[in-house]
Amino acid sequence: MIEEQAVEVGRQRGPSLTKKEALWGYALISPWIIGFLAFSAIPMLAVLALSLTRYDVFDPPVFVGLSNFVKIFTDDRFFGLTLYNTAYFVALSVPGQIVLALFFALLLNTKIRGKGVYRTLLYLPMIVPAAASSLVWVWLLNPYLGVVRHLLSFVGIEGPLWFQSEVWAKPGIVLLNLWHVGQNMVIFLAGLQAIPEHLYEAAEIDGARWLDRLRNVTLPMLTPTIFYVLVMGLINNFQVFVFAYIMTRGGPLNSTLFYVLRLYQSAFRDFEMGYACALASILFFIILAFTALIFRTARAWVYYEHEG
Amino acid sequence: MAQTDLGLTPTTKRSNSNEKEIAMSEHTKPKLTRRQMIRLGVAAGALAAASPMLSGCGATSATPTPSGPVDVTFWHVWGATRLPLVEQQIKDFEARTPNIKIKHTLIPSAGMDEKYLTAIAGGDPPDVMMIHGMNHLPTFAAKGVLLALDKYVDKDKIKPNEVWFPAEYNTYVWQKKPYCLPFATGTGFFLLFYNKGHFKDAGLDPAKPPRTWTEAEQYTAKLTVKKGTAIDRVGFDPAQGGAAANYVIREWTFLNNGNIISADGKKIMYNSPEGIDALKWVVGIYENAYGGFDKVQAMVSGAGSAPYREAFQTKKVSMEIDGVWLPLTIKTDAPDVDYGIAVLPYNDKNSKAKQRNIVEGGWGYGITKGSKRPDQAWEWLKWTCMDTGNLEFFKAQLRPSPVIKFKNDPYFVQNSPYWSEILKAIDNSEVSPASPAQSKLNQITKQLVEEALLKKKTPEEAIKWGATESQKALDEWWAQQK
Repeated sequence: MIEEQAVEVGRQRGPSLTKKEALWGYALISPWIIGFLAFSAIPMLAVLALSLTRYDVFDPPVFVGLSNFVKIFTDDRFFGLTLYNTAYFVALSVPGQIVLALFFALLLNTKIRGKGVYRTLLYLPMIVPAAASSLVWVWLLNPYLGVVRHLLSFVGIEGPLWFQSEVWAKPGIVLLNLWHVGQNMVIFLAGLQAIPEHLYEAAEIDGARWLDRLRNVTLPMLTPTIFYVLVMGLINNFQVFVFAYIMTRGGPLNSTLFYVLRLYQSAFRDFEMGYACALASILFFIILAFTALIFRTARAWVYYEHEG
Repeated sequence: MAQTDLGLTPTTKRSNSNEKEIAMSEHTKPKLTRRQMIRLGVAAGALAAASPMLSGCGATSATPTPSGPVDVTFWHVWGATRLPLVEQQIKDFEARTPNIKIKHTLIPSAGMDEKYLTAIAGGDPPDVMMIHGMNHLPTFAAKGVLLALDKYVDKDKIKPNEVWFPAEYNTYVWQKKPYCLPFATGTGFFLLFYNKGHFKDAGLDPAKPPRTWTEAEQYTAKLTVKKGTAIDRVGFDPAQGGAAANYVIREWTFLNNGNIISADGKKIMYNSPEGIDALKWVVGIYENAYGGFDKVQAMVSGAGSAPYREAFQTKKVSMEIDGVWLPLTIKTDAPDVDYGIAVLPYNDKNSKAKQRNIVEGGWGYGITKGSKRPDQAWEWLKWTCMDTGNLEFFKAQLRPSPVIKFKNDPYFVQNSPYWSEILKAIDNSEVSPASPAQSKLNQITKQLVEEALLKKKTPEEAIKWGATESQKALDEWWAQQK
């Protein structure tokens, strides 16, 4: 009776309670929505729209239909090269990061003294801004004056020309990227600690050794984490830019001309915004396709505990 | 009374419901008002978060009523040792024109183009911009970013060819109108700096730098020092370590009586025997003296903005190509290097070649088209580009001024032991026409030189490829202007 009257009270005084609560919800998330629209959604739509124009910033955009895309696929001497450079980097960097991060996480998950110190030290490179670490690494890998060359000379190895060599420049950047292993390592650590202890105990009782435990308990239980790190790693590494921009500017001989660096040059050095937007749109769809592919295959190899 | 309700509730419960209704309303009233207060708070918060965007959208600065001093904003790239000179320049200017205040901003030269572009796109560029004669001027002038200065030049009865060296002034003329005044010379970008100590060690006369290509080859052979099979000291680095190769190669073509681009800026001209021979000669220096560019690559390229300069300053290179700004920086960075300056050698095997230095644009100061204070900006331009402001800035660097009458200022002659060489460089300077799409052309030239140096292509193939690609880029740009 009281409930009926309460509802009647509500009905007589304006919108229903549920509607009021919905309005509240919208009001409270409105700051985020405004930010998302203004800084993410609308710019992305603008890029897609501008990719159909020729726009050099000084004059208003001129609609040119699909001619940017036609030019990219038929008459662009950098398109194939930048895709190759980026793919090379991703192919080395993503598995490398996963393996290295997992390796350190496994080590740190044991009962060793000073675990916190090691964890901090391994995470420290993440705090260094990419631009700063680039400048440092240019000197570390300097083929004439660098520390790495000096250290290698103790072992009698003549170091390569690193960023002056078109063969070694990309591996040099992969190496620098691997240095930033801390973030993924921390994520793996969290994943490791979520693995229930009883599974390990059961395995030990069955006589499993360290490697068997790794293969049959740790890795399967970690697959959701690996899945996450893989997807994020792909998305981020496809957009590699800062290292090449600061250290090599695309050289030597365009061996470090990554896709996003080339896009940037097209936009801000050649003043061809429309063309750059077309390049960006293509990259968007490439990354989307890879991500969708991984999601599609996830069912086969990612194991979630709560599923049967 | 219970009879006054609207008949919405069943009559049997009427009296009860009314009492309860009143009780309910009294009970719920405080909740609603608190809700209202929270609602107001959220709305206010959202508005506060959104307001910067609202106010930023339509920001147009109203023209200030010139009652107090007027601010002129000025962007430049004079960093490190030159920054105090800029500040001194401003101080002197404000002392004589107290109603104008210069608000300067140092922008990094690496991100200069982007910074300008974003400022122009955002509708908020500075009043005065520092413009590069080759990389910026054609595009900025063609796109209407800069104010044409002919009206000011005429109003103040300035005769440009009597004030500035013609090559300097003409760098900033586009379609017959000036868009900047020259501030820093475009000449003196490519000079030979040589280590006199090394000359003495090699038995060469330090007062006799190489004047011809043949002499340069001979000197290089004598100056290069080998340690076993490795090169310990590079005698001569004519391609600036490959870093700024796209600039240097044009100078060597010039010194072989070649040309880079046609006067109307529409046709590439370095795919000529002169251009090919110039590149062949540069590659040949590395081949003959060191066994290839890759043998010395580690020493002359590398980290930093000018690794070839660092190699010279650490005495690993005996002869390098550098510009008139070096004396000032070397004074602080490597004061122990005993160096000499000379104009670049020309090709003595080509009877038509002579000492001839390419000018591809120095730095000029221009006024942005939308500036609200063009008259005041013009005063700053005159001070820095024609008047004492210019002289003092370059005197401190022992660097030449584009202004003719400052050429023989006794300060230079007394303090710069190589002033005669620098003057020679200026006198022998010729403007190479500016072209739009310069950024693309630079990239192509850099790649062609790199490929030739690293023997990916022969010099002929490299030049042919570069010229074809460059012509394509040029044609595209001109086609889009129609």
